[in-house]
Amino acid sequence: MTLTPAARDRISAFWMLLPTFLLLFAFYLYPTFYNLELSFTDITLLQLRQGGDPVGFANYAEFLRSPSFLDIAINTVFWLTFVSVSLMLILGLLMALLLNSEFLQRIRMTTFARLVLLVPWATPPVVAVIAWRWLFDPTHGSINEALLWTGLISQPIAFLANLTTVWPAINTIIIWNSTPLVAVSLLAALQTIPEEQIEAAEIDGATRWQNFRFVTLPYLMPTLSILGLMSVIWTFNNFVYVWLATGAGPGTYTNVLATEIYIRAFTDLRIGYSSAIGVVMAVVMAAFGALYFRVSGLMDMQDRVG
Amino acid sequence: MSGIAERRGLAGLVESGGLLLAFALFVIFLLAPAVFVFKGSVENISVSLVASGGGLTLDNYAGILEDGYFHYVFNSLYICVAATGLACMIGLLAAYGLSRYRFPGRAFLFGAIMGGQFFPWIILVNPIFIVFARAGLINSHIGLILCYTAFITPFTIYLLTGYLATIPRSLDEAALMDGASRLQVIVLVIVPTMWPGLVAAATFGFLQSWSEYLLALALITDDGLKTIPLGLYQYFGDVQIDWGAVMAGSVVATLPTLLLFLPLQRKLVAGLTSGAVK
Amino acid sequence: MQNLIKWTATAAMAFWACSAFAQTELTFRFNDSEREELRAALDEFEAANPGIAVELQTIAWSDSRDQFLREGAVGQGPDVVHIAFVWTREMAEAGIVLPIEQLTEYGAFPNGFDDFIATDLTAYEGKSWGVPWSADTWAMVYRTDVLAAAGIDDLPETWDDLLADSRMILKTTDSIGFAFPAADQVWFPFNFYLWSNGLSIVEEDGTGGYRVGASAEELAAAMDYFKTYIDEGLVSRSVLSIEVPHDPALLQALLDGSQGMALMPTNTYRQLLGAFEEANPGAEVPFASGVTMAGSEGPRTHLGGRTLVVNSSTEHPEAAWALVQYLTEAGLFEDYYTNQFPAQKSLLSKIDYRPEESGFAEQLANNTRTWGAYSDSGAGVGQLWNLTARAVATSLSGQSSSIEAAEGLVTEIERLLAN
Repeated sequence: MTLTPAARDRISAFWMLLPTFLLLFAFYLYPTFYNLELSFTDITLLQLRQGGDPVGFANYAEFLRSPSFLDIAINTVFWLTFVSVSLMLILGLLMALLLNSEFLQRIRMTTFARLVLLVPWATPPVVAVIAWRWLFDPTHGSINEALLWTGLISQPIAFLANLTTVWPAINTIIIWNSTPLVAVSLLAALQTIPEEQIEAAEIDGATRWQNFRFVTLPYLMPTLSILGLMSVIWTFNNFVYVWLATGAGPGTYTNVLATEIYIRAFTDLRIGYSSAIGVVMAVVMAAFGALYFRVSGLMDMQDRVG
Repeated sequence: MSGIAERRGLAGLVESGGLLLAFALFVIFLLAPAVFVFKGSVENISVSLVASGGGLTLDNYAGILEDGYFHYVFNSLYICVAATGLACMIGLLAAYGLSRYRFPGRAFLFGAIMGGQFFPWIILVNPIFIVFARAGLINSHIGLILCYTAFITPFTIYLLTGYLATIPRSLDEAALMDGASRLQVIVLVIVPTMWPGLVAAATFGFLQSWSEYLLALALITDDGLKTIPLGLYQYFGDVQIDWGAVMAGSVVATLPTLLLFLPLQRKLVAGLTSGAVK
Repeated sequence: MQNLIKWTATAAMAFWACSAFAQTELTFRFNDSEREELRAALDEFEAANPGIAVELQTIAWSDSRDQFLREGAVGQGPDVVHIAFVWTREMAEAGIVLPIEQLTEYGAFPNGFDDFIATDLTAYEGKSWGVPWSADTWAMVYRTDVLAAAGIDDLPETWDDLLADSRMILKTTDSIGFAFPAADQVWFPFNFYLWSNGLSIVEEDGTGGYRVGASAEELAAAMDYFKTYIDEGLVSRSVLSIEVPHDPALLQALLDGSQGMALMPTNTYRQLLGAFEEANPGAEVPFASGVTMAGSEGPRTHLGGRTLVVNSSTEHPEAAWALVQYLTEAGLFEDYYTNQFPAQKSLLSKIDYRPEESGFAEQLANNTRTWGAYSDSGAGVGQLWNLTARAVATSLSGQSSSIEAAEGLVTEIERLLAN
């Protein structure tokens, strides 16, 4: 029996994707369904052995109706996710362009710059937060020292304690720790652009902006779109920075969905309830992902360039 | 090569100055916290982060050496290298399959790989712990390696499909015409062309697992099996923190990564001079 | 299948090892920083009990409660675990620890179980589920030279004195008077304030139930007391992002004398003294400790400490119990675990304190209470703590008014107590 080329392709693709899906099944799908089941019970960590009682949608109702829900939602969507991710992408792109520039080659700093980029990335979040907390400190921190020295401020600022500065401070920590990933990924994409294309455009008299806009950017788009989507998902779901920097405080001022889960699951031990919050978050991200997929035309884009 | 180098005079000077300033800001922003940590690691600090008395010291490093911290470094290295290698292999296969074959449901599969990431994984710690306990994978490096592989594979796949999209398919087809098998195409044609992308993906995978804490906490409690983040958190006591140890531990946590990726990063530059696609 | 074979082989080997050498492997999870000292003590225990080997395990304190609850639920985890007083009941409720009544069949304590303090916190459904191991509390710490420079001769005795002295110190020396963590662990000062004014977050209602032990107005007044320090600039606003008394910024201020007064646990104070002596060898130590502030009633802090529990899935309850008994012997506290106070009445009275530590001794002996109703109510100390600390910080940061924060807190706690 001979197979048509299309059928052969399908079989090859199946084998190539099989290991991935086995992993996904064991480590994502199964725990996720288990979690979905827990979200309809009142189980706590104390009853992990006996199991909880079914409560229907009570956990979801309690969470969606809780008075702090709106604040938490705004904090998560705007401050944590939107601000961090947009700055991360812009800064990451600028860093990648800088690292790829001839200027750095000329001053022989390319390797050094790449290593510098690795440093924040290799720093565990807990260490990043410790360092930044101290840099932000009103009495000992270098940031206040520098600002006082330049005369921009006359009184030291307690960045993490003031309601007006606490979010920008958290954003700074996230950006410091996460932008290198964006920059390195974009740099790798920049490397795959055939130089002839850029040179050809230059010969055709394209300005540098035109060259960037019409030659470079299309090559970066697949990577940039993926980075955008993944950064949104990761930042949205991340509790570490907020938790370590402010503990969701002062008070509840910087509480986000992920820290709410952490508090409910790890302090209050309410696994059922925190699972419900997790499901809500997953649904929001799935909706966002589907929309993003459509709007960005991710698949088409990859087909076209290839 | 043409471009900036040829721009002379005032405009060129302003541009170089601007770039130099940008580069200086870039270095200061990224290094300042790290310099602070490094400085702390060689100073006499105990309960506060301000050094008591002048002078440099290696006591902090001696202290963590005595605590067996370097054992954790070894564990972390081996777990993360294994997980990264595995994820890159699995991911490259999947990315190739997704980008080079046309079959129905392709977009759906791509989305499904992404689907796993939607769930905030802090909430998955308990289910994963229970599954692992049943499978007898608690306090086992294999369990943690599999976990980290699963954890980093999806993004590795996205990155690699992104890069694969920029490699013309004609390259594969030429090799196939010459009688190469698909696997040979991947190993002999795709991998060398995609080096920058693979390095970026591997860096991501390695560092993502390198600093992971919560899963390691739940799955590894044996002292001899612990990874760096677990070792580091041990210095955060209930009523005290050993800052000297934390700072030295942090530096030791960062250095192996830099050393490991120093040679690899050169591959990232390779494209600039040779041209990735001929 | 392969797994099964591997598992069977391992089990068979374990069985063989047990019967051939009668070697019992215990795991002891100990989460404080005295690992070296404890290891030395365990070596002594192993020498005295040939056939028992003890592995010492440490995980971060803040994660240890959840980790043991997880492990217990699937029948895993260390044999003997070091936990906080107030977690004992939760572990009992989860069914993952063995009752003392059952364990004492392997051997009784020389002075009986009643010699231990805070045993009320280990009780659940008529049985005891853990052995109080070490005791601790918080007390006041003073920088005597700062007080002297401000012309303060007598240590403050009431919360009002403390505020007045803080104003005086700021005015005359430009230093901070009293500073406190205003995030997470504001829980402690806030409760101390309530208790010394005859109030509490949770109390018995006299009919076998529990209720909020203060009105919203009283809670708001307590919040306002601490808010005064921030509003008047008596402390840096940055305390709002400081969670613990051992925060490096707070300890640094005490070390360099830019702050005069603080509240902290004994071991944090000892670390502070050690750090000062190391930085200023030979200098006179300008620190003193004292009892906490009084309000309408006497000063009152919590009797805190650690419990030892035995995992209900242990395969070696008898050996585990031998280890627990060894760990509570007087010799251990004299020779190895010297930084901690034993949680036994007969041993507590024998401790020698440094003069700088007299305040802690006085506090521990005469001015403590257990979490009692907080723990008995079943609301969970962890939840009460989180709710209270957040409500207080919401008021202190100006995110909402004190009375709003207090009313919200009362509502939340009532809801917890109703469940």
